[in-house]
Amino acid sequence: MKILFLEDRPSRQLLFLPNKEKDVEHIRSLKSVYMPESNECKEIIAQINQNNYNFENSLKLIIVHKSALETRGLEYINNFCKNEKVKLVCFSGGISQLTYNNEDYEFLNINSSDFYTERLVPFLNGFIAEKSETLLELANKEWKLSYMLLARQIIGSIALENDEDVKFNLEDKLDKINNILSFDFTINSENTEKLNTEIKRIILSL
Amino acid sequence: MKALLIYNDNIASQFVIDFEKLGSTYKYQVGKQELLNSNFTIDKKIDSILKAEIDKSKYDCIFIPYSLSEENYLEFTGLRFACHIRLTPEFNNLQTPIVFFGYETENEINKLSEIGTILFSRGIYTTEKISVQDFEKQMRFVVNNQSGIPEEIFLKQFTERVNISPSGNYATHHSITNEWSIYRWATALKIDDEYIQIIEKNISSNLYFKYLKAQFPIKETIDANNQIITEEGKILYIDDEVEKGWDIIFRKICTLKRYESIGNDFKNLDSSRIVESAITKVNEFNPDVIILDFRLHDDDFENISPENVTGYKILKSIKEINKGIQVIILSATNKIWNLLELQKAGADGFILKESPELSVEENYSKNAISEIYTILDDGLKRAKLLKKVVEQSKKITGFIEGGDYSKEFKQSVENNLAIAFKMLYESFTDKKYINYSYLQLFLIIEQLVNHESFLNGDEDIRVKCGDKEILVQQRYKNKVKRSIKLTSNGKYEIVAYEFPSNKFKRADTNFKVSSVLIYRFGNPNSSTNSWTKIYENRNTKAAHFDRKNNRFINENEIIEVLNFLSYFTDNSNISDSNVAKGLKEKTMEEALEELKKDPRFRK
Repeated sequence: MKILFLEDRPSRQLLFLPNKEKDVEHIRSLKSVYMPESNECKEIIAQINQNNYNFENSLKLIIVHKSALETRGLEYINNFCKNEKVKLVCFSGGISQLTYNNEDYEFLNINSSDFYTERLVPFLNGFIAEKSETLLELANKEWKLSYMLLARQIIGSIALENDEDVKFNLEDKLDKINNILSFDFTINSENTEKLNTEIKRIILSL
Repeated sequence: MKALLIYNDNIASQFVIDFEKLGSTYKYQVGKQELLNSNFTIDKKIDSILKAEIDKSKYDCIFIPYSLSEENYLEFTGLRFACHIRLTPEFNNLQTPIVFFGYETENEINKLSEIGTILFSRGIYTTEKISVQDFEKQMRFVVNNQSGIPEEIFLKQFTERVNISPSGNYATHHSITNEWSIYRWATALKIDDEYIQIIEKNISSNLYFKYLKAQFPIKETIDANNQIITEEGKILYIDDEVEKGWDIIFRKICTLKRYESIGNDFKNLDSSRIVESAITKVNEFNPDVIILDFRLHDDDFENISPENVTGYKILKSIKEINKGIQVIILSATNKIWNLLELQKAGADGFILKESPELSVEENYSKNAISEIYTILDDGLKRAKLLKKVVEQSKKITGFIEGGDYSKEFKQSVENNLAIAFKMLYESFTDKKYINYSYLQLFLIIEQLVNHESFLNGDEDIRVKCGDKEILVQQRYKNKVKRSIKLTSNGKYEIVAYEFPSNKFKRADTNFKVSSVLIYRFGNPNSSTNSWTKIYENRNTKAAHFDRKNNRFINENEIIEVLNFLSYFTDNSNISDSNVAKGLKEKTMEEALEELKKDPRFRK
């Protein structure tokens, strides 16, 4: 099992997923995805909340309905993800703004209606095939643009920075972005014009 | 001049140090630990920063990058932060000029963010030049061009220009309406309670609610002391979130009434157990009016048909207990087909929670609360009569069920009782229907008295009392003999008398019912159980109501006729006290003599 998918209200999938039953069946058919049925799912969530669920070692990604978990359960998952470098997606109807964090491990906090979209099935397929770069692929089809804008902000800051340690950290962030984007050019201050052109091109195409 | 810089780790540290000569700085950061708290929201985070962490001085200018997220630029947390500044009066900088900095154009940001329109609102500036010298120039420019306007107008312009949407899915929309409604109505009722304060706190930190509060300020409140429910009775409130605000609101509205609520433990129960628990409470408390939340279980928020929603099932069960109990549905739904289904199932009224769209109407909250007082008062008034009617009807149906009647006859009586109930219900909107109801109930008396188990015959009439038959009217020669006589006070008494047969048309209902009352039930006269009055009412008030003089059947008279029916159908009231006081049957000779005179037997 690569992905543990905990949804305690499965009817929501039929409500939001664009191809309804077809998408649900597809997800269920994926051998690397374990999506337990309603009662079993509730049982697993209860065990996580009681901190006595044993996560499988093969796990690479946990997707969970955040509202079903207590803070104690979330901490339990956090510890597991932190130690095992497992990615985590928390979705809930109550999340007003998407938040992404890559400190220790990749984490995405996303509203249910933004999670159950046409992006979900391709993301799961890509993740299983190890072709997924980032959890942001789930959040926005323009996820590459997000990294480019971030890179431009960082490049601007590097130019203003005198502190060598801070500069090093910012350059390190830039390197990570380069790895994720794998462009035919390296994002750096010399290539900012190329970057600006690419950003403009994408925004114009939206 | 004093400026404020909000920044994150992606901004050069040297730049932040240099900025301090212009004013204060605040580093925005959210750790994973915070993100994983089940109560965490970005709005709560920003709200608490503005209310508790940043110095609340009046700034001349605030600088914010478009995005404050260190890893996902498209979150545009800077824009959200600025919206909070505009909608958080406690921060004291509602109208302070805000300068966004970043390498994007306004149009690009507007294209990429739902709240990008803030860039085109009053007091917002942008710059691509990120240096302290440029910021200083920018600050001088905005301060020189700044002109304050009244706060109310400023907020009005802001909410018109910037569109902030609620987050979320179907369930969240309901919770928005729920919390917004509780907040509005508790404020309008001037309720100060711990839970209301929690809701107020939640509302006051959520950007969408802040936006709504700015858009629809409450202008009028209600003096609950001046408005009371006048009718007597008991009110029960059923809700899975009973403790979350609504209970306090209804308690306030129902002051001085016997009011109880149930639902605290529903969260741990499945839908069928919730129904069971609610019905047990209804049976114990015997309420007159029930305020029932439509959705009481998580599954009810899914896309299911109304009849599978827990509130619907409870409604059906309550109506089976006593359809006179008035059920008022509390709901955030505005789906008309759901409301129609509930009405078909017997819902007697609706309290629709105030969704933000409804707040457009200036005094909506005040009017909605006044309407609740009316709905509950009307419900109590209806229940007072209808519950008794249902109880008596059930008794009557039970007696009929145990009697010697055909299936069709039983069904016919039940139908007439149901029609009478329906008419009574209608009488609360048009009084004439109470008369129709009375006539319908009287029809049942006529059905019964003409049933063979009570009385038979057209000319020679006999009343049945157990296995005995008592002759009460006899045609003999050219006379008609009767064993009872109508006295001057309108009742029949046991007095044998006779009158010429040419004056005889047919035995009327009064004679028949009186005969049954005297001979089947052993009463000394026919005025028992108000029969004399009932008969008179039937022929005067009920059949000829006078709207001009407001002369209608009243509720006591309805109960009177039902009590009479109950007495009339209860076989345990049968008594043989008067069986020997009927007319004498004809002798063999008298019968033969009659036959001889009958033209059919003459040669």
